[in-house]
Amino acid sequence: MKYKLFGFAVTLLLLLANITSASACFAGHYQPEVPESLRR
Amino acid sequence: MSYLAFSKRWANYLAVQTGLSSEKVLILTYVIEVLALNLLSVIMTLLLGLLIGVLPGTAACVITGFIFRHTAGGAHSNSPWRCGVITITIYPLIALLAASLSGLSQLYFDILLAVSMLLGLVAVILLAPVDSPSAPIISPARRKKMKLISVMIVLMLAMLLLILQRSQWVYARQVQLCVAFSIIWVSLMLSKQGYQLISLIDNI
Repeated sequence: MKYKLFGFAVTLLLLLANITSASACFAGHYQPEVPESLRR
Repeated sequence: MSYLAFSKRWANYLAVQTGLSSEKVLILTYVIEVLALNLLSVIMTLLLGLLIGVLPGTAACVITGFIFRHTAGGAHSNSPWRCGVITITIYPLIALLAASLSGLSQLYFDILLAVSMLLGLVAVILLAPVDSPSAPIISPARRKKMKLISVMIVLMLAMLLLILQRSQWVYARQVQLCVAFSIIWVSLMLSKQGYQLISLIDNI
């Protein structure tokens, strides 16, 4: 059960990473370095 | 790649629990940092807006800033903490300014809205999308698409201002000015002057 929850959290975060990397920036005035694999 | 300690720690914890590759750990670290810092900034901004009595206006500024910068991009600070200070102070200040000017005569009010829209439109047509070295836009097709979406967003915000013009909502005028001033701010962040301002703050 615990593994499934962590797996779900990781999947969700990876999906959000793809979504956030598709935008030019987020709400704030700071941009962390986008990993190479997400750059397009 | 340099990330903050908390995001590295959380990502490593999740990686240990689920057995992720190092590449995926890097992506997790990035997304945790983006989400945590932005969430914290937004909450603190809204709290400050609430404290100084301009919560609806501050919320309007944050939403305008988010949808505009999402595709148009703009200048970024080198430090997450300086960025936090800029984000947390600028939007409530804009809302405060809007609240104090909401009694402006209709003529000046309309001129202000028109100027902000024109400025926003010119800025996105000429400058958007403005990427940063930390998040470069590589594909020309993506760049083109983001410019088009940015223009559409400015037009949508102009429509929102027109709808609010006819609205009976008690905060309508205040929110209109908040949207207008936020557009001026985020347009400035697209320009060379915006970059100079942020680098000046970075050097404090």
